[in-house]
Amino acid sequence: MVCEKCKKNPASVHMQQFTNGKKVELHLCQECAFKFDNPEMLVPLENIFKGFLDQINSKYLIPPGTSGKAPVVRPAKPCTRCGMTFNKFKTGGRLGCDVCYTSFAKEVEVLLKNVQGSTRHEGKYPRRMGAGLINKRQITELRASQKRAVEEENYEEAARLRDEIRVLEQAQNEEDNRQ
Amino acid sequence: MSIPWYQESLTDHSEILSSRIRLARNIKKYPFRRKLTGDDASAMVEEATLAVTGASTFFRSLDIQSLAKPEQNVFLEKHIVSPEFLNGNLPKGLLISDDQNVSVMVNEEDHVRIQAIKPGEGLTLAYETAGQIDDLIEERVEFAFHTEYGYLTACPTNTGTGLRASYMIHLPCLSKSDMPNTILPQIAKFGVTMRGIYGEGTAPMGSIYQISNQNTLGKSEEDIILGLQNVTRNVLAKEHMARHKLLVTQKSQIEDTVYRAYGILANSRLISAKEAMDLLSDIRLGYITKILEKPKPTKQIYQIMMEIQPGHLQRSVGEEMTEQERDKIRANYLREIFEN
Ligand SMILES: [Zn+2]
Ligand SMILES: [Zn+2]
Repeated sequence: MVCEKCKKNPASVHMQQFTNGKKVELHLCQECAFKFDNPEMLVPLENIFKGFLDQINSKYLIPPGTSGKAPVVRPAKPCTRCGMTFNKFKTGGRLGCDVCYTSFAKEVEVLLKNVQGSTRHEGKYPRRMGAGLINKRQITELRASQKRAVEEENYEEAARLRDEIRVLEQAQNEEDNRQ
Repeated sequence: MSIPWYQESLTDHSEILSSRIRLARNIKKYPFRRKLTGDDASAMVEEATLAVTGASTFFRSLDIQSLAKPEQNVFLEKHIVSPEFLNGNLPKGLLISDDQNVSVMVNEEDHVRIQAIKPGEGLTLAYETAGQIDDLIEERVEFAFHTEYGYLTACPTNTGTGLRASYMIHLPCLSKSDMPNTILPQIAKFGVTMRGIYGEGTAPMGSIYQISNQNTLGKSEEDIILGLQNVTRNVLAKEHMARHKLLVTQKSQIEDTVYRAYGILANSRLISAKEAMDLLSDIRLGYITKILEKPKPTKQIYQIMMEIQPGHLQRSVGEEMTEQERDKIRANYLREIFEN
């Protein structure tokens, strides 16, 4: 057996990795085995993406009502910035630029849900984006909570949230006027 | 000046060998690596390099492409660079602190990959360091960022925080049992993955595992780190249980294993990396359980493990060696350490 990474040396190291509860086996030569570092690096991406790419196909590419046997495949438009096509991304596993994330918005959404289990960034924001952006997002979130509170007839909570939103909106207006 | 993490006085008694943080970032102005060619690639590397060196005087630029292969491999074996980074002739940059504990790869899979390593348990500290470097670079370039998805990366497996947190851990007792196989699916449920290096389906090389977060989106950096710390604590508790059980039920066998390992390392004439790693792991278990207290080399066992890797050996000798020559040099090196 030849090493799966360099396809040169004989594979003498057999590595197991568990990804989302599934076992992936890798057969590598000593050198490649020791070099591997990033978790995603050595697992062929087709394996990572397998399964839910079919999901993407069935969800978006096959129009409902067709049997699925001879689907009319909607050609995904290439990325407007870098020209990457969705098919190239599927085989290569790497996106071409930041705009790819919006060019393939639907597909990326499904992909992230599957790979990451989430489609919402909860972490750090670049400082240069300023407090404004963080505020706007907070306001959106608070509005949603307020709506829920009203629906649940929790009016006390709804009122509290309304006040909180007002404070943030005021700060936001001041920020916008400054710019 | 501080010393590299692998020489620092982490004891031979702790299961956590090192803590590592990696942040993946891309500069908005340029497409990702797949679509980055020619002049754009050179311009990106130049701009990113300037941003990093401008961010802190603490980095020096290292022209890794001009180094000989064994020298490059040393950086691989220390996990400072990745094989993907070394492959190909695309323009690239490596910025590194004097002690090598903080580094930035420019034009790896993502434009900027910030890495901070600390000895032993130092994940929070490593994140603080990497985060500061991130902030400083970000003052000079605009990173690709999406209000819903966070930091955008070439591979969607890194999107969001772009954070990969990991520990190198030594699990000599668990790897003597079938436990790792039962643990792995359990920790996967918490978005954590653990990898060992397996020789012919037996125990991982040197019983060393890397445990890291799988997901980068949907949780804050602090929560990702906390989650990994919790899972790791549980894995270590299982290791302690396994050790306790071994010491109660198989004390003589463990003593025998430890002393035999010492005997072989002090006497062998030819030894492969795999065999040496496993014996070093047994000796380390001896120090952990206090079965073995003396003799004890002045170097940490984990450091020795690293120094017997092909690149490190090759560098110390200078000329190209065959695998058998390497096994001989390795045996000589280990005898010098363990003979007395
Ligand atoms: Zn190989
Ligand atoms: Zn694109």
